[in-house]
Amino acid sequence: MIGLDVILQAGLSGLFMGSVYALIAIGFTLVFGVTNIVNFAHGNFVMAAMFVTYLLFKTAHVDPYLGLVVVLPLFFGFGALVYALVIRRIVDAPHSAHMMVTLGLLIFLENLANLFFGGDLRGITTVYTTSSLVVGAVSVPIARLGAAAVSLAAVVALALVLHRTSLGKAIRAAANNPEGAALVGIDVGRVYRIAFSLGTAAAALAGAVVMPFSLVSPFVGGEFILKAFVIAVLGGLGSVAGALIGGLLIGLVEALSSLYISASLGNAIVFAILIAVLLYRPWGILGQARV
Amino acid sequence: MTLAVAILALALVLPVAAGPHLLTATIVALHAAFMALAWNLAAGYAGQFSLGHSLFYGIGAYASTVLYVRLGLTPWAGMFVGALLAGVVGTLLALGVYRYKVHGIFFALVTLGAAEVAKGIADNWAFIKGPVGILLTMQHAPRDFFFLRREPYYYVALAMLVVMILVSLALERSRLGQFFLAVREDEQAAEASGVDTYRYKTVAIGLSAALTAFAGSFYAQFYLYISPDTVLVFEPQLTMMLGTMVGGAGTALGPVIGSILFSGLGEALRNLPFLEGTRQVVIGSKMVYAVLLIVVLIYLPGGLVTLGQKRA
Repeated sequence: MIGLDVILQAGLSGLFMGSVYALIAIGFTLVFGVTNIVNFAHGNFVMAAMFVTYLLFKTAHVDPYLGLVVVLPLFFGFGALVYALVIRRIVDAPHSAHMMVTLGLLIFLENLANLFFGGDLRGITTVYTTSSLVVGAVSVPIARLGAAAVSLAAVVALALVLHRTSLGKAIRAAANNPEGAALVGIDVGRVYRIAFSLGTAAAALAGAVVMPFSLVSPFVGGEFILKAFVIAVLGGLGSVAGALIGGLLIGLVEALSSLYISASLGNAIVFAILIAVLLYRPWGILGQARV
Repeated sequence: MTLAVAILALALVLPVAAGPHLLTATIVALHAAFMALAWNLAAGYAGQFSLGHSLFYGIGAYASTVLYVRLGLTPWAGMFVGALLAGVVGTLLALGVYRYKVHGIFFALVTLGAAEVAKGIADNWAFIKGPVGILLTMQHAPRDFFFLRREPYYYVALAMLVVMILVSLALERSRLGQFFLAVREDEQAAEASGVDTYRYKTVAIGLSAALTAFAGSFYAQFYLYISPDTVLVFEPQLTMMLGTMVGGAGTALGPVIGSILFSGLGEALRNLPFLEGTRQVVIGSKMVYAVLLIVVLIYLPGGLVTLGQKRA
């Protein structure tokens, strides 16, 4: 019989990881909500940021959190670049083109990383990688706590931008009705570019804060994007709050199910949830039902 | 027509002139082209963009393999059982999914989810040896779909591809094919005109699934080892999609051209004598494919087959 303290510990771990998943999913769902593009390469943006963080640490001993000063603007710019070069040109294409082109991006980034770093899993060890606080019956790993805290702060910041700034209003307008937004003078192309850059930066932030307690290889992107799909759909494609709730939920499900069943079976359950949501409530928890 | 005959003639004599590496490369390419055409049936002609075809590929591979390993059934027959099984699974899946009116990206994600669920189950299913996979030790050639030389595999793959091309061409000219196109072009209009779109979408998936399974069986017999990590992952799906989309979805020739381009080139590069398949070359070539994919899809959305076609 699994004790309550073990369950609590797993639950906490699930919530921490779930916060990071939520951040990744929010970047993804933001891009979809605004530009209607499913970015299969989103998980690889996380992977790329993990590698950059890894490099900064290994070569210059820069702590991942300090490294954000470089990583965030770098990936915001990278997102803008990808948008200008590729995404911009397929915005009006059918969904199948979106999927294939972003898959192409996925393959490109994965192999680029493989070329430079090889296929092995790599990690870093910071001073706080293995430390934890003991709070009652549970032990709180500092690295994961930090990742969760930063992720949640970023989510709040993003929500504030979306709802309290004029840029945010423009983004929401373009997401809601691109033609209408253009008619009232919003530069929709610019808004798309900014949304895509924000999504990429969110992925990068997640990658950076995850590095102290994770291993990276060119192939980790796939797992991230699959989780992002499930979470975004669960929460409601395009809904930031939904992705937050979805992320925490999936994090919990993943952590708690690992206590009782194998990881691959837990994975299968997560996808069964995805299928169920897609069939019975495709607009997710917080989306609006559309005919 | 004469061009087709000439190519076929060339294809028939290729094994005589080709070395073992080139022969393997062409077998892989033919196999990829077959798979691509099978996926194209649903995705290209009927517009049902499935991301979960690895499921059917895996069913084909496992069905013929398990039947052989446990019952001694020759894979020549086993692959038909696999195709039937995959067809049934695909049909049931489609029947269930299309009832809920899922389209576009949602449909794609459901199929992806289904394939992932299947992999998760396979990894935990002792009957099929789970993640360890199944090693095929063949007893009798050629009775057990096994050959001691490589050339017969080439001819089997070639025959499969030719049949698949003919099936695609026949579909294009048939009423069923017209219904598929109607569903692809404008499902609402088709439904309004009295086309039973639910039925034809299901047929498309079921047919496509069954044919994909044949490719899975061929894989098992060619490589003699299968596992969830080789046949139930995204790789086969990627192969099918890449070839079809770059070559030209919804045509009989497009997926063939695209697949031969990607697979053949990749294998050949891997085995070129002077490059000796260095890691960098293999990875670099994948990056080139990715760029090619992106460029073709942006500037030639109809695929490579549309090169040289007059604009409407």
